[in-house]
Amino acid sequence: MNSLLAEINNEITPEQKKISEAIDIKKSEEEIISDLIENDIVSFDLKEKTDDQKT
Amino acid sequence: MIKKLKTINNIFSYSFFEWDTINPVKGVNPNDPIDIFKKNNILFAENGNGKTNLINLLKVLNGVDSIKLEKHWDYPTENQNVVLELDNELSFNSGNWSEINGSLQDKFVIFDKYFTEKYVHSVGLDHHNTAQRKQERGKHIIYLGNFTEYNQEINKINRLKNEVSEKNSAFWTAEQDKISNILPEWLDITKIDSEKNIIKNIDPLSLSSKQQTLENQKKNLEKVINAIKNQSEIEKLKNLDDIKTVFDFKIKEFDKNGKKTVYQLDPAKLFNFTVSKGVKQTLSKISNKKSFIKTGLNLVDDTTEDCPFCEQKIKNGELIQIVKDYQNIFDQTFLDEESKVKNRLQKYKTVLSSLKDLQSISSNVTSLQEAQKYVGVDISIPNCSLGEEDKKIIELEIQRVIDKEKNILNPVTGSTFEQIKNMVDRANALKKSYNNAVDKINEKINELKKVASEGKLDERKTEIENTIRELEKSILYINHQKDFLRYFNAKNHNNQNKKVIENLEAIYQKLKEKIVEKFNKFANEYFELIKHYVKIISPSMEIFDVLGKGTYSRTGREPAQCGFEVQYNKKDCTNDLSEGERQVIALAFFFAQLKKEISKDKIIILDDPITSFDAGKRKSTAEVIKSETQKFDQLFVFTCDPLFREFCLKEIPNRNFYYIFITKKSSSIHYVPKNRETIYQSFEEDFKNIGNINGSNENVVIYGQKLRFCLETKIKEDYFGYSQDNLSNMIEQVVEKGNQKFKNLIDNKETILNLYNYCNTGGLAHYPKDGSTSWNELNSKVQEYLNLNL
Repeated sequence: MNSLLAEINNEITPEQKKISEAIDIKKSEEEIISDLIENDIVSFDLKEKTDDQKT
Repeated sequence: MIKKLKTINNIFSYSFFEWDTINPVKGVNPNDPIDIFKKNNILFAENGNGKTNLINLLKVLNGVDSIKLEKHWDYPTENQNVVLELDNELSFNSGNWSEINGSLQDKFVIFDKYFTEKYVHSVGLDHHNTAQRKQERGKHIIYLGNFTEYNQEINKINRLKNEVSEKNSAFWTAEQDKISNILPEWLDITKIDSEKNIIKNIDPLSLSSKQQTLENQKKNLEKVINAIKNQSEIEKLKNLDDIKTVFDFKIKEFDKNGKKTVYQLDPAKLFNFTVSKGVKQTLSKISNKKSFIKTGLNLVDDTTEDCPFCEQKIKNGELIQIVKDYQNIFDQTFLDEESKVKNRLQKYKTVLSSLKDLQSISSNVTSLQEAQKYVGVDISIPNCSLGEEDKKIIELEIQRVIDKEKNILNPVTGSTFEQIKNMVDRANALKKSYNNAVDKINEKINELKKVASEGKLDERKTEIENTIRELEKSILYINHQKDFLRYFNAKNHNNQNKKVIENLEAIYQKLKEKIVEKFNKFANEYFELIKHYVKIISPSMEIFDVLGKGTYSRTGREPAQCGFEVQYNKKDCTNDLSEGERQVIALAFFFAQLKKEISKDKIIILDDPITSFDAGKRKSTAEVIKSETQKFDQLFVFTCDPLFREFCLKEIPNRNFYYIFITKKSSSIHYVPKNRETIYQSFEEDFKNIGNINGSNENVVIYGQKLRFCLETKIKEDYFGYSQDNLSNMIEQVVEKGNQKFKNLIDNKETILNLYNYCNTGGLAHYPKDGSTSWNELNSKVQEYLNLNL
């Protein structure tokens, strides 16, 4: 069975697509969140990267 | 597969059932395991013999926890025990139901009234499409459509969203707490956002000046508060005086005609004023009027004989008189000149004295002190006195002036006019600075008076308080600039995370739409199948349309719901259906489920699926059972209906047949050999061998029941065609039996009824309570039956 996320890929905004593509649905929520952090999609720690560093 | 229900002890009506005791028969072919369940099995039982109890046992094994396996009424303290023999050679002893449950859980797919009640409609009065049924159907579709993975996926997205939300909330709350700990009470965190650029661009080097200004403003505030308390004092405040003295060497002079001239004092010239110089100056004055006199007088001396004016001999003082006349003019002019010098010296002395005496105005100190109680003055009044050295120089110069005044024609030397000029410049600068300060202070005093007179002191107080607040904010921003920038950074992260959460929600909703779309597609297909089976089971049924509309929500306890509606001419007719029609639809629902069932390793159980069916539907039901259950592991059809039993026996291949009835107070499952599948034939075979049977109490009951069964069922089915599917076949059955047989039946009417009554009321039904029945008595009744040759 194909992933539902893959099925809706063409029906979502580019921003949502970026999130969707960073989600490996087979992974646990914690692992997915780590991936989201890795991809700079979410952030819960200012120490990791500051705005200045990003720019 | 289930091979045997080897032992069932003390479960409902199964007080003590041992499969091997009841079913010891082997087939003709030793390889034909007729004493165990086959792939397909038909179990027949009349009401009250243990059919439903057996199904309940299987349901418990399937994991239905709402059914309690009750003990037999007569053995409330005895242990319960179930031993199953499965095809994987595992057997289970009860006492540990969970062990059995674990092995067979969800192994069965059961059609019975509970299935109908749960998924389709009530078998009772409530036919409504209840929320619970919608949910059960929803679950059903999810299971059959293998939507579990989709559900897991969408649930994961939902949990992911919640987890991101929780983490962000924790992160953002912590950051807000950090900044809140820094913020004073009067500064709300929500106000910070609009100050971002101010904080970012604030100059840390301005801290000390802001602190100083803050201090001043605080003092100002105190003064305004003081002014508010003492408003009457404000009017009395005096302005400070400025220095009015003019330090200038230009003096105004007026001639005889009143003409004004401005003269620049030149002390050097004044100090050098002597006779000769006075004369020269005098002559110089009069030469302007009589130029020739000047020339003439320059020529006159003691030896002069000729008058320089008329060139005649000077005689008798003629010339002298003229000269004298001019001399008079000269003397007056000289005196005037001397007077002017004195006057100028006086002026010079005055300038010098005021220069020496230059100092701050003492009364201003008191006025200022008084004003400072109410108005903030950050300006100091400068000292405008000259230094002591300068004053000495001035004093000496004054002394020179005095000396000159005393002896006006004596020259005075040593003037320090150049230094004095410098002092005048400095004095003017000091005066200017002093007066500026005074003006500013007065401005403040006047402003305060004006504010007080207009009753605006409270307004002023508020203004100062606001200024103080702004200064305090600025100082806070400078002292914690890093913390604030971190906060703004955190806020950006929070906003970014929130956007992700929104997008995850949008993804979730899109997934939900997708699932609903798939769900509805599947439901439509499923309900098309139901219609298909309705047509097969009941071709004459004018159906209709069977519709199910799915909804998917995360708010409900169950994620999905599925409606159910039966329509005729596009109108809901669910509540108007007959029992038989409802049964058809329920059965069609079940067969559609079997069609969609992904796991084929199931055991299918049907509990009398034909209640309220006519013969035609019973037959078509048996056909559908045959076609739709073959792919599954095993089939058990339970029925109390002889006609349906016959249809099943004819239609379903590779099957064994069993009947369930109570022997010796226990329900038992009896295998029926194929050659004796008409049960009464099987029993009659047993009757013929009764001489070889042990006359135990148990056998008294068994054979008594067999005798009753033979009488009733044989006459009903064999003579009157009860097991035939239609009238034509029934008539054929009757005809086939022939007149002779019916005559025999009629002739032996009394004997037959006596035997039947004996079985029902003559002691057998109550055996062994009254002890009146004996094996021999039963033997004679059996023989009587056989003699009837029915």
